Amino acid sequence: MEKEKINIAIIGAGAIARRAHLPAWKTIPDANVSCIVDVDQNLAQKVAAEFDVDRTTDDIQMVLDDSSIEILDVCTPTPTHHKIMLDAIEAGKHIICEKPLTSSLKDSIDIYNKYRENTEKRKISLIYNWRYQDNIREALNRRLGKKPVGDYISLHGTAFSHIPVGWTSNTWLYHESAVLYDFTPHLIDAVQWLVDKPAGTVFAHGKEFTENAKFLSSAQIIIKYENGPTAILDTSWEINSNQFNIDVYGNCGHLHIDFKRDNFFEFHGAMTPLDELRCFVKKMKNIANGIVRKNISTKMLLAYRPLFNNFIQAIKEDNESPMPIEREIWVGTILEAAKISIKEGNPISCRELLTNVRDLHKNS
Amino acid sequence: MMEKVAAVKSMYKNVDHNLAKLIGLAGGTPVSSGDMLAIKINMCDARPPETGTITHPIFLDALLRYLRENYEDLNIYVVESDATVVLADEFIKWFGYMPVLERWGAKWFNLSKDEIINTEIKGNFLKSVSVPKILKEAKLISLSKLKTNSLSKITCSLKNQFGCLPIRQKSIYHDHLSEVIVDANLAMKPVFSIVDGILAMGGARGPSFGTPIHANIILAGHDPVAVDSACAKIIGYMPEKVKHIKLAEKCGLGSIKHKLTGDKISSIDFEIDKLTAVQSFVADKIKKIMRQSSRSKWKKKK
Repeated sequence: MEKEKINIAIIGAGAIARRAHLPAWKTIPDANVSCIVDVDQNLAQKVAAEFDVDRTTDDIQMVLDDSSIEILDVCTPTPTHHKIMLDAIEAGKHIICEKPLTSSLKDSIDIYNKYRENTEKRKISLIYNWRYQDNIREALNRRLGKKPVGDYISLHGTAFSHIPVGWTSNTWLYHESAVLYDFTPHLIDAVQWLVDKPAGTVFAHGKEFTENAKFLSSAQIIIKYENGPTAILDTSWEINSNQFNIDVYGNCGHLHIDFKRDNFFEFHGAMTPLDELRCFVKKMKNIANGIVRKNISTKMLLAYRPLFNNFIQAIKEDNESPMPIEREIWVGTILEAAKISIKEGNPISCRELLTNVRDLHKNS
Repeated sequence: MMEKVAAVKSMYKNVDHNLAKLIGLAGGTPVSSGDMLAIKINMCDARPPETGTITHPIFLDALLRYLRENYEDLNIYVVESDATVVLADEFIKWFGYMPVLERWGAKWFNLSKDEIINTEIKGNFLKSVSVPKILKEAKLISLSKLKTNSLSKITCSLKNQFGCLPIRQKSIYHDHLSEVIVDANLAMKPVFSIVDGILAMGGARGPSFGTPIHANIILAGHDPVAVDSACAKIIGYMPEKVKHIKLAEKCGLGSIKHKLTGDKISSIDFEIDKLTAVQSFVADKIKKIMRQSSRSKWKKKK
């Protein structure tokens, strides 16, 4: 007997839907993408034809009213998420949403509150695919519980990429805090996942792209955890080296997580030539594997599949979402604190910021 | 008679004076008062002028000043098109060109947004080229950069016309780049070519991620093939070994043989490491194959 499939509507037919979401959904036997929603119907129809999707519409309400559609997969630009998420929660849909949830903490809390007011049986998950890659997830799940590097002293994260002009011709990304809302949420999410406690204070410095392009293109963020480590995150659209790493330094060792290559290294004590050789061999094996499997440049996108699978399992078995909305509030708080810190030049207390924004929300 | 290519040593701070000298040495521009001009700058990536990737706004400023001071009633357009990693309408604002255009009464024009005139050519890869209408009406001046290119060895005057093709996804032509560069020039040949080599680019990762080279030189000429041949020599290549230059000559676009006039150019190290160049070329090919196969993967699984 054929398994009952869960119907999904893709909201937004842009680059991320075409390059990551649709290819991933198409490989999941339990999933059926039944509709693509986009204001640009030409684009929606072109994408629907490419991925064998039956229906397209420019009317999101039609999808919200359609009880056969259980999951909304939100792939639209971040500024549109707030309204779509509120409406989708109201309509009682499960939602999986591209990161970041919003570009303002107030809007994220708004969505969180709406979610809490409505039935919590509905699942929401954000998409943080970096730490959902096979090797990294497996290695960290196997090792993290054992605290192999002891107490964390510091975490150094880098997200260096090209400015996303080749990814999309859309220009909404180039708002005031631009680079903070591209790959930085991935870094923050991964650090939060590793440290697993709310951040204490955030101090950040930023650089605008050019004198005439006044959006943040580089930022350095220092996150101090209360009674815990310090994370130093360096993110840039100007350093085009395509590096997405986190180094975790503990009092008993060092973890190097290479998100781009889905690779994980563990070192203890002083680095010896043997360590370097072991590391080199592992890197070469990983690259050779990538070439043989033809996924060397798309590993991070391939992680959508296990993430979507887990989301479907969470729905079916009523488990916790892979990336629950509560965690997004942590990420959003750090991003907001970094934004304010860059403007004001002061460290920002995350606890105070969260309280202030919640109060602001209550009063409004 | 051998084509004349002028070369003058210059810094950005004294480029106004040196550009006038350069143009004089090249025999003047084929511009007349009242002409409509399209000045094709090079904005090939989202990299500020200080990286050596794009035509420096100071250099454009010097050319516009020269044109305004020497001719009357010119209708000047500064042009570029969208490309795989180019949002031309944004870049023209981001990288400081707009105040320059405003200062000299020039207009910005995105070639990707123009009406297309399909032009039949006896091409090497293309049989017909989509030519933006403005380039049929205006005299085209190429204002390019002196740079290495991991795919075509050099990117100077001839390659600049590849950037006149209005299609955004120009990377589809990268497998036949030399042929398409020549085809673009067959349909859109500049009347005058000027090369900004003050802050040039070397190394194997050009035209966007190479090493900034302070070559402090500017070049100009009426024949883009001759200008590119001079540029190739400066960078360290024999012009006959650069496929698109050789092919351009064969197609009658100009002559590799040229007479260099002006300042004596001493040797400049453009940091061309052949091994790195091969590595970069192979890496680009692998990446392309991987991308294509991963996008078609799910289709095969159906």
